Amino acid sequence: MYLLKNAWRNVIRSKGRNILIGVIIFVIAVSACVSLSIRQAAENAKTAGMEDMEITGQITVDRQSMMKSMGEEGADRSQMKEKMKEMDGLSVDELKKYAKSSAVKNFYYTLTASLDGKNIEEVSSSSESSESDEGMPGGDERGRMENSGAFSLIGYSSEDAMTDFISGTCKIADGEMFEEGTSDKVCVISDELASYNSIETGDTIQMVNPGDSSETVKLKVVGIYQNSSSTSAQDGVMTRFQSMSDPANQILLSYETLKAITDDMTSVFSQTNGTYVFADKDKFEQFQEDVEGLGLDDSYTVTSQDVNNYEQSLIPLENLSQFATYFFLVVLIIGAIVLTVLHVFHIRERKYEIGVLTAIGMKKGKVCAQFIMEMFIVTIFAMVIGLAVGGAVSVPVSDQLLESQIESQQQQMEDQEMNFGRGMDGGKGTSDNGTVPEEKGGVMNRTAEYMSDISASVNLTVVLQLFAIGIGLTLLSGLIAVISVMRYEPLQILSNRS
Amino acid sequence: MNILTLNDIAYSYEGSRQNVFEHLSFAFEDGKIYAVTGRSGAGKTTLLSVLSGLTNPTEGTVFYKEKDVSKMDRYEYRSRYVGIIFQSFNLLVNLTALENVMLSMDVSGVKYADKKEKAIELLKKVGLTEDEANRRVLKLSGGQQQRVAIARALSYEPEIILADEPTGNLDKETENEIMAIFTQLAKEGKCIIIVTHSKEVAGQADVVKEL
Repeated sequence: MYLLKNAWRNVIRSKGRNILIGVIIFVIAVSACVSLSIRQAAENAKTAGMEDMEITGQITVDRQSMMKSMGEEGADRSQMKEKMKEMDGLSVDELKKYAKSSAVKNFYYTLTASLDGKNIEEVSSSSESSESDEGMPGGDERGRMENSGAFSLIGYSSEDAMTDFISGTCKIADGEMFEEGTSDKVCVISDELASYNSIETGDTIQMVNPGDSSETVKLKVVGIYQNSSSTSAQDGVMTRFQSMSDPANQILLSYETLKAITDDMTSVFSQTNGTYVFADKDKFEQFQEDVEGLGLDDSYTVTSQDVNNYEQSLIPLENLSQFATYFFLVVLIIGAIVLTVLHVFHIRERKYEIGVLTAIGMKKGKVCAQFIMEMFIVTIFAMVIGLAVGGAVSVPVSDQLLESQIESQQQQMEDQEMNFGRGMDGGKGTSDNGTVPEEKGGVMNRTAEYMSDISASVNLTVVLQLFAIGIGLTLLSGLIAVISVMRYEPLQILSNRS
Repeated sequence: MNILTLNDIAYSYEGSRQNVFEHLSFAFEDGKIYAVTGRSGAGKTTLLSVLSGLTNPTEGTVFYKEKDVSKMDRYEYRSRYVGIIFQSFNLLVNLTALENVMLSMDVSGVKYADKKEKAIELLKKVGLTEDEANRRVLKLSGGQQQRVAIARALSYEPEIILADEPTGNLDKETENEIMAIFTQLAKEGKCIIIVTHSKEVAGQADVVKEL
């Protein structure tokens, strides 16, 4: 107890040197607090963002790895072509097999087919698109042997699969949605297609196989939907050549109906897409492991656009976090060196005191403990003040740094868009099931939202980390200093003094 | 009773082949005042360092009540059994006179219920007022610092007092007062060993040991 009392007394009575040490620790504490806060904020934003996020994933052909492995085996281009043709998407039964993984929260699938219209004309400036075989929605490889039509027919396994209706991008404007799982020849079309062809609910449209005009099917229009993003999407470069990819030319049906249609026709291009829904990213990662166990071929891979988009949106925050980590390490190293040097000088100055204390019988360990206590008292005071100041400045500093990161990222994206001759509204892509375009600009909006999360960044974890650093630095620098003097014997110190 | 016994001791400083003293055998008894005298460089202060356990003899053994001092915990030995009054006082300058005395009491590990009162009483006994007791050591004169050093050595009631020129900075009157305290302590059964040049001080000792 008397050691603590002595330590306290020495701190109070040696204000000058302790204030000097305190100022250095204060600077380290503020810098460390800002760095740790930014890192913590980045972690929190990442975790919280992922927690709130329901993730969807798909099993797609991994062309890259397939080509690589074939390249290693010495296969030429024609062999690769053959192999790719074989690599059709997985069948529904196969997709359902992988949906049995415990990680899957929900599973739905769509069937996409391409047909021409008989009594209906596509919304497009081009009417010669049927010969083209590029740009299918869904983005996967399609056979060049098959003919593609002007319309894209999408069959949904369930309402869960109709994400654009769930999100509100699309709404039924007239009539109603077809029954889930129905095999009736009914469909829903866009309001643009309806008005272009003067179609009303209850009318019947006739579709034809682009490869065989004798194969036709009649579909009753039970509903007309409005797509809030389709008008702007028509400006996309691809749609000038491919009316089929225009959302306005998409005809929605139940999976069962479309399956029956494609089965009845010959050589109609169709593609099945399965979508797995996961509660969080961990489950998604678990699924990636599970499918291997369930026998998924190496040629396929599990991907998630949600995870990719989210990770991309975190780039500014991660850059900032990385910068904060480097800054933190530099502060820590310089701080440790300065503190050690200062403590060594400080303790050497007090060599006489050590000599007296040990001469009157105080053990070296106790002298050492008293000196370390003094250092701790100064450290704790400086840390508390540093934490308060650091907590106050970390939010505006982090905001400022993050803002500049976002601006730089935005500038980069804008420049990229300009290089491609696109407008500032951001490029348009297609969603995974090929139904509705998604705005890439949303990534930046999402990033900007994280700025608000920084406000809550000075939390208990940061406080504990900071104190652990303070204790570590004090112990390290203090022990080095104390050990450097403890090797002297009291008689030696006092004789030199005399 | 022999409290400190020197058994054929010798001492030489590190790196020196010449002994400061050698073949020194002597027994110090409790209840007596000893004066160690000799010319400058005879090894009086060195002998005091050996007796206080600040260093070990290079040859021979020092016994404290039949225990080899070199094998004892020398920190405990210094803090409990031996009170040292250094020639240059060796006080902690950032503490007050009172705090210096109380710190020795703390270091000795002996518990005192009225530690502060006892320390003030002791300082008064060596001639310091309460006001002087609460002054930082640096604000006291050499003579007053000498008194603080004496009070500090007596504070935990050691059995042996080792004093290096304890009255060197004191006037005649105070010297007599301090010697009276030592005489009283000797009567109480303590062993007082004083290194001195003063014939008056040596004259008041029970035994004079010349080096």
